[in-house]
Amino acid sequence: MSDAVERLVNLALFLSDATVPVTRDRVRAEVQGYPAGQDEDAFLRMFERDKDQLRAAGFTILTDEDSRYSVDRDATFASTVDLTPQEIAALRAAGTALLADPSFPFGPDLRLALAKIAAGSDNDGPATAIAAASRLADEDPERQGVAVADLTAAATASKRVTFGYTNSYGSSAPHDVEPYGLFLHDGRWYLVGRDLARDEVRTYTVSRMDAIAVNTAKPATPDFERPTGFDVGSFVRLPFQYGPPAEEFEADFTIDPSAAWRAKRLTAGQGELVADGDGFRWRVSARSVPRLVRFVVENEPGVRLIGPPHACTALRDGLETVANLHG
Amino acid sequence: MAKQTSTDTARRLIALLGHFQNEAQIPLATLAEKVGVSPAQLADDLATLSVCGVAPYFPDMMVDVFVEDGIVEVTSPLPAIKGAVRLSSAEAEALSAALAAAGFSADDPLTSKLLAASSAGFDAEGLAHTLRTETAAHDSGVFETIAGAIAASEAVAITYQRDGATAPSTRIIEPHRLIAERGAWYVTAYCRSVGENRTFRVDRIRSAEATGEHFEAASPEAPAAAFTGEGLPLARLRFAAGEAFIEREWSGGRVLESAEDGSTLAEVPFGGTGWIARAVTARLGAVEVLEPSEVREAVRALVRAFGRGF
Repeated sequence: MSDAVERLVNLALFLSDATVPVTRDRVRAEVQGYPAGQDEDAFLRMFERDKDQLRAAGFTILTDEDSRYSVDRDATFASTVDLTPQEIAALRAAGTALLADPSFPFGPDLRLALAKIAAGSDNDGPATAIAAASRLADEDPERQGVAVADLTAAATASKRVTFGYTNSYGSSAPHDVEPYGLFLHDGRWYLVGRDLARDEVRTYTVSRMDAIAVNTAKPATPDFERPTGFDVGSFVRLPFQYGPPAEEFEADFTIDPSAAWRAKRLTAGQGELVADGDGFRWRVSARSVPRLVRFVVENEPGVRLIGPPHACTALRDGLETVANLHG
Repeated sequence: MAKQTSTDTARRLIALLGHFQNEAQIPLATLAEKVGVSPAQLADDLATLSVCGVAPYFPDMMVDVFVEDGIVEVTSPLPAIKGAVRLSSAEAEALSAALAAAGFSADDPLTSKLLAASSAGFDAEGLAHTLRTETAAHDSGVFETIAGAIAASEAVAITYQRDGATAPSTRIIEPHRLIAERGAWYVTAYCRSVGENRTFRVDRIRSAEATGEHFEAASPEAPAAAFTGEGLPLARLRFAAGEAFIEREWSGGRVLESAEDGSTLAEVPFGGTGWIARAVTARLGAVEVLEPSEVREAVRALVRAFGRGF
């Protein structure tokens, strides 16, 4: 293995050191590690793989019209980054927490990113470790982390995926999906993609998937095009917004001045938030009365449901039931 | 650990090249930690690096690095390399996702500064359209202040609006640990105002300011998790038929028995009555507190407070 490592590092150093673009023949002659006597086709395949690997390590390798190669120095070597002690501490806290979290799917790349930033920073930060921990996904975090890494790679390369899926009613079925994007919400990972059998864009809970398989045919050729303007953020919904579309209704809230500071977080970009004095009025679509009412109780005081009437009645009746049970 | 390939090793060494630009002495363990391998593994990698260089491979054209007594020594500038290598797109994506998970959005100054210096035109806002790792939105400045205070063992003055409160309170805390859990960040701290260890949700901290006053390192009793049921009193709850007991919603709780009528008896640890009373009330009668009486009373008080709002 060390021969391959030596060859890659030698190639990186050679291309970085060259003051003018270099030909393949020079690479072959001057970079130690390309086997003597190797036939031309084998050399070309090895050289192409090596360039791809250096690109994956951060090098920007240019090819000119005469098929000569050079490193774009500005695009390859970082400028010094000046971070405050607090910024370094925040970066270190996030890194410490997420590198140890199996449900964060990008740990190996994050580790290399942080190592590079430390190498390019004037201030490497405090000598003491910062205590931090993370459990982004709380159900089977290892399995979700691996699944999300695979699904993200598939979404990035626009490759179809198949998986088994058990819905919230306990019913299982296979799915063939074009993965558009992923999001993390309230301790769970979700996949958004077009279900080919149903021909509609759906949201899937990753922890409910099994036997995830990425289409390996023609890996360099995309299977689909993501719709123009796709934004996975528009699929992040509040708990009461999940349910049958036929049951959708509009809910109205007032947010008192005492709760105005958390209005943005509370509403999560959903619905229409309009300033009303020092507070807000908020109109948002909902599909589940029980979930809506639960949301109100969980987020009071300062967040009042004022419509529709049937939801207000459900809240009032529910509270009466609670009072009777605990009277 | 997954099997290491030549690509892994080469990427690891390339990630460290920026450290070897000038004469330097760096503890092997420090560098090994940065790239997530054992010191022995990194020593092997560096031995490989030391036979790399550029043509004609004269001694002054080789990477002049060696390890002695646990110290990595670089005795002359590295040939050809003019700085830390920028992040690959996968590394920039990972960094961007990590920063977002810690509350630093694509347009946050820290995210912009890091990516501008270390990546080659990576589009963090574009990534946010296909990958979102945000936890509950908090003020990234508050996160920075607390992280900095943990690093410096420095007390912090916070204004904190606890769950159910209509106004914030001011407290001085000695922060111990930042923890991401259940979609939000928390800080465990010794709260001088109450004289106890407490857990604070970062998105409920409305402001944070380092006091400049240092404290001794965290005591062994400092909590290592945001939610720990250890040593807490237990409430006995009855879940009506059709209302499932979901552990992630009742942290540290457990089912005691399931009755023939479909109801479930469970016990759940609670630190203060506020959280558990609210969780029970939010189920609108599907969950009943059997004991203790203080939690039943807290539920009644919460319902009365609601009544005043109608």
